[in-house]
Amino acid sequence: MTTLALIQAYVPNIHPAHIMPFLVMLVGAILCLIFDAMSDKQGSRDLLPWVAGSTLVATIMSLLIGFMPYNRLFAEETFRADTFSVLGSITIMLACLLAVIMGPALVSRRNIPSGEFYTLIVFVAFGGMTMALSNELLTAFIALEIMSLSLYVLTGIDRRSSRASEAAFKYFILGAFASAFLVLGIGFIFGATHTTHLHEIAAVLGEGSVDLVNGGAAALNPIWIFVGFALLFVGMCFKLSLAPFHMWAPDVYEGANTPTVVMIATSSKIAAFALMVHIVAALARWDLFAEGATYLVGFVALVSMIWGNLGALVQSNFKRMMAYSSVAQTGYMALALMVLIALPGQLEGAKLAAAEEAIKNAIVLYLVGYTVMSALALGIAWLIGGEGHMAGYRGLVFRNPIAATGMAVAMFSLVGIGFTPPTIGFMGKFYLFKEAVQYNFTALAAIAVVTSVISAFYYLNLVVTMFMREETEEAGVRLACMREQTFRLASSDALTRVAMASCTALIFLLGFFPNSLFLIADAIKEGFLR
Amino acid sequence: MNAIPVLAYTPLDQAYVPVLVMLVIALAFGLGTMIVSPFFGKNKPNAAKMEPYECGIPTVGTSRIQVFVRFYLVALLFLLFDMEIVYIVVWALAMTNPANAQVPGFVWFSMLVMFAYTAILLVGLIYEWKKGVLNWNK
Amino acid sequence: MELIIYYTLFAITVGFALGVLLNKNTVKSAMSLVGVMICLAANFLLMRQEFVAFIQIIVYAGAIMVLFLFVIMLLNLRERETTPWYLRSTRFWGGALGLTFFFVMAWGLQVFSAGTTEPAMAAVQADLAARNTPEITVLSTKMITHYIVPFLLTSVLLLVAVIGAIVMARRQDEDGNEILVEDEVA
Repeated sequence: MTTLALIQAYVPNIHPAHIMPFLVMLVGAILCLIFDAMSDKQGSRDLLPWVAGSTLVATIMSLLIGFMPYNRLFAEETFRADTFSVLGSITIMLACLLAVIMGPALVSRRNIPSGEFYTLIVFVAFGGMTMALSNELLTAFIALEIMSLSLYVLTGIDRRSSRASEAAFKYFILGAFASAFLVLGIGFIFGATHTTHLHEIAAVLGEGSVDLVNGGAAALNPIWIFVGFALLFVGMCFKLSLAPFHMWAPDVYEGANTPTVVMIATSSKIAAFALMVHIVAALARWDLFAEGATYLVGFVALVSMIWGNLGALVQSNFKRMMAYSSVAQTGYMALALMVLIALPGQLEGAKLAAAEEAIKNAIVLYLVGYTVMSALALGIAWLIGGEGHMAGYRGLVFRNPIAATGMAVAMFSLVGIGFTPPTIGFMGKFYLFKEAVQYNFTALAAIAVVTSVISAFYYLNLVVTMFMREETEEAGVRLACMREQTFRLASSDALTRVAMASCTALIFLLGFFPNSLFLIADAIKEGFLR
Repeated sequence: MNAIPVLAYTPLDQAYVPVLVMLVIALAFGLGTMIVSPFFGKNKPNAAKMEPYECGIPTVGTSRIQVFVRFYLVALLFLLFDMEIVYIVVWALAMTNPANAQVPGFVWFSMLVMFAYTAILLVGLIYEWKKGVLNWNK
Repeated sequence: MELIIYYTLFAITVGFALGVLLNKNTVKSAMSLVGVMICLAANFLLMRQEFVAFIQIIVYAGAIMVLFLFVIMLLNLRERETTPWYLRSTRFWGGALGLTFFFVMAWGLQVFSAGTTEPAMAAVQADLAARNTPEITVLSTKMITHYIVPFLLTSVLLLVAVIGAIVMARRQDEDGNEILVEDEVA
């Protein structure tokens, strides 16, 4: 009997080709670690970013080739690849790739253990991808922990910065609390439905009763599922930095190094949102669910939109401003999540499936857009050393017109509404708000629009600072100081510039042709490279 | 029919009788020696005998000293390897379970699974080793 | 019979738990916590949850308490003669919170366990008895077949934890030589 046949005799649904992206990542991460541990000279360590980077690129390739069966459960019903999770995974990889590109400068300047740094970045991507693809709550939880642990360590990896240590400590303590809530919620849902697989949960909820071991059946206890979902949602709110669970975000964004902030702001949120969407899609099969959960999610979305935007108004530090902005942006996405929960009460059958697909696509479009925009903003700040006080941006256009223009594009796109030419930020918000209005959440959509207008004040304030204020000596010194702390390598610099240019291109490309994103997903579905 | 009686589902009042007997014997021995020994030996204390004894050198300070971070790191790594033990024990139970052992190829399959599991953890060990974390004198 | 064991265990557990709270010496508190863990393990055994009992002893009473003790000794806490004023009010609020938690839990158990738990538990117990296998055997077989992916993922998680522990306990000096944080403490 061959090894493969032996494995498949016991776990029939596992095929090595299906889990190829996971294997690629794991091998890459382990290679990084062993390579670092075995090499004595500094020179050979300079190859590490290339190992990590090629691992991520290889994973993207294996995702694009489409080894995984599409829209079907695989690997012991643990994973499911749909448009959301595959596009999300690719975006996670790209964000982590950006962190790898920015890495060498940080590692050499701040004297950070390079092997661990790159290994942990790959593990962030690994955890994120596993989470986005998972169809099983235990797997999702373990993947979440892999990702979170890596992020905690990456936040505090700069051992000489006390701010970084403080941020890592806060992030770790609050994150551990959130994980406890999350796992308790999973426990409640398991207790109510006797399974951790999402498709089985959906089936049990559709039936309305649980099959017992001895062949009998018991009625579902609705309280357990509500308590379970509430706890789970609270846990995920921490990870997504949704208000009122966002308190860690500003401190962590400010204290952590910028490559890590890029990953916290994008990768972790994409993964968590993918998981939330899958869980909600399973739970929404139950008629009673929407009644309670809509208010819960709606409340969080409302508070996030208001608190995030008002909080960002008063910030003077660039990274803190980005933290509050991310709270607001995830609030808009939570709005779509709420619509997704409320849908089964309004539609049925094929119409329901189509509407759910449309909302999921709107969320994934917004997520990709948000990733590109924040990557652009944070990347440019990293390049010019503008991660500190925003006074450093005074008159930037006279000193560095390209950077100022790129930052302005990011800011306009983050505002979204009311500006031409269409950017990805505009398109993302347009689809989200359209879905909300279409399914009778007009009041919340109106609040979302109003808060977007409020957000224009602080985003455009930065643009005004860059373009219409006179350059001062102090501003230049500020930027140079910050830049000196973090930045040195020309190769990393050049690659980051290329990445920033492609982010800018993507903002307009996806703004004009938002559907091109889903062409990729369709192509993978067909298996065009296989 | 069970090859290994421990794995059978026995009622509670029979299941842990051996453990209880073991516990009682252990407690009895520990406490018993402490209680009984003063009755047998002669007890003549003097100043030198009452001192805490350590290699012939009088002790300095209290026994509650501040330990180094390295102890903590070792405890942390011990905790992680302890978690591995939990999984390995469960795996061993699955492998030796008579119901599973009768299934052809199951033993090989579970060996394969555990091989993959330990291979990943071995990477962690190699990393620790090469980084000199396990080296006390570094 | 089981009730007698249960109430005896209950008394011992509460005794140890009070020991954790009332001991002024932190090391003694920690040792009482070991007692609590072992009593909890016995409680789990009473419920025929061998696996959980096993984890309680191996992981909690074994490894985690060692970690606790090292942290206590690392921080080098001395016995406090007098309690500062802000801790006195903390004690009151903590007690109030604890009591509230207790009553909420009691109420919750009363309300929510009424429906589904008992038949479900009884069914599982009856099934296990009929198949003559303890729960851990069923669980272990499930773990390496149906739940093989999360099982293998835990090894990755432990690997990340190893890396994290080492990175956070170490820092580098100006020349890039790795030193442990301890050297700065000492």
